[in-house]
Amino acid sequence: MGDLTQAQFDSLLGWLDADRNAAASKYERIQLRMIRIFACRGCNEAESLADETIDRVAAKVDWLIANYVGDPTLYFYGVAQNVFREYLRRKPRTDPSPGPASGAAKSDSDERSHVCLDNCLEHLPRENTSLVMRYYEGEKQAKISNRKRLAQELGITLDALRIRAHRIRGDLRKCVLHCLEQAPAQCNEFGPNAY
Amino acid sequence: MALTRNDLITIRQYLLGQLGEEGQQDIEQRLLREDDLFQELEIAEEELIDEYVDQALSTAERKQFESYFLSTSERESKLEFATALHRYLSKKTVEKDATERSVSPSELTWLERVQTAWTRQTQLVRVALFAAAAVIIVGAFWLVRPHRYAPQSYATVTLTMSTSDRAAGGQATKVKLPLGADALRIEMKLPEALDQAARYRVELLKDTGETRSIERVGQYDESVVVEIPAIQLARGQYALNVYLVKSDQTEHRIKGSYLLTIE
Repeated sequence: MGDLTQAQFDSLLGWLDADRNAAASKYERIQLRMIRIFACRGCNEAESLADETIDRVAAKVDWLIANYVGDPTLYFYGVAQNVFREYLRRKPRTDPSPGPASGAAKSDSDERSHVCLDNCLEHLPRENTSLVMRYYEGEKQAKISNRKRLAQELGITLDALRIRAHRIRGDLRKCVLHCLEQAPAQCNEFGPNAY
Repeated sequence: MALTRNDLITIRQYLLGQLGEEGQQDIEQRLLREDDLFQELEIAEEELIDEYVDQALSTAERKQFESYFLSTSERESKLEFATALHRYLSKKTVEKDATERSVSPSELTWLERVQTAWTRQTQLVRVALFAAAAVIIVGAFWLVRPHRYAPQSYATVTLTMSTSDRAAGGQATKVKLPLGADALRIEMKLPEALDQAARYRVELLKDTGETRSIERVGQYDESVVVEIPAIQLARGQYALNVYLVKSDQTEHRIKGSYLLTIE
């Protein structure tokens, strides 16, 4: 959110839903999904473009309340299209990617990641750790068979297992990223109690 | 709203930048409104990254993944995490296997060894082993169970008691070998009425000095009856003595012998 005033923000929420809590929830959902859509289009400034889109919609909210008929998300989407086109016009040429890390740096990074994964998995509830370990175990056909067996054991569908594994993996990734940020680069000084 | 197979394919194409402008706008508008579809986008993105790490993407998909999908730092970060997780789990699997292999069999109890060996087998091998064990157990039971001799045919001789022994001129009944039957049935007439409350035992004495006690003695009319399998018959002269065994297990020999010669 950029230059949005409190009054504009309140009006925007009022336009999304008469109930303040429901409106806040819709706002967050639209913002998150626009970020993901900009990212899917290869935009590295997805959050900034989502904010820009919301600001533009909020600037016209009084007019929208009076005149717009239909699903507000579609209006957001239309504005997002324009914001993205403008982004493409002003976007500098992409810098070449930094390239693969050197062998030593990669090894060091691996070691740090593994220490963080060890620690984070240890702090997950035991059943979640077990689920992640088993969900990603094996390759190709063996992996598929493992997952079927795991779903049967847990008494859930494969789709439900997929969603559960996705959520646990999300938590694990957040923990590992936090751990890597907190830990010093030298893995020797990096212990489980560092975070 | 439940997702269709087409939705899953479309999401994958969207992530790889393979949809036209119209298709892209359509799926993006749905992503803004449909919770299930948005969740599928998140999961499919993760799975696409895993497939890339596992080298399971086709050449075309791999090219598209590298040129289009990996164009944001967020996705590069997700790829780094997926790679680290993949390596970590591979390492853990190798360590686990090595640990299992490094445990000396002598450190395991026989039960643990059996359990370890059992869990390493495939389902088919387990079924085969189970069937083989069942066959062995049934076979062993059959072999060790007490076999009851059940002859199909008999040769019968009826002996009367001789109060004098062979040396004193007692007459022996003669039986010729081969017997022509599975067993020899010997009926011995008793000099007194059968004691129904008691049982009888017969002692078989051979002229070579061998003695054999026969506990399975039938009672019939005024006779006691024993059966000797043909295979156990050997030529020679025999005397059979009958004992009355009372319920208190005291024995009383019935005076006299039954003489038999097998030729």
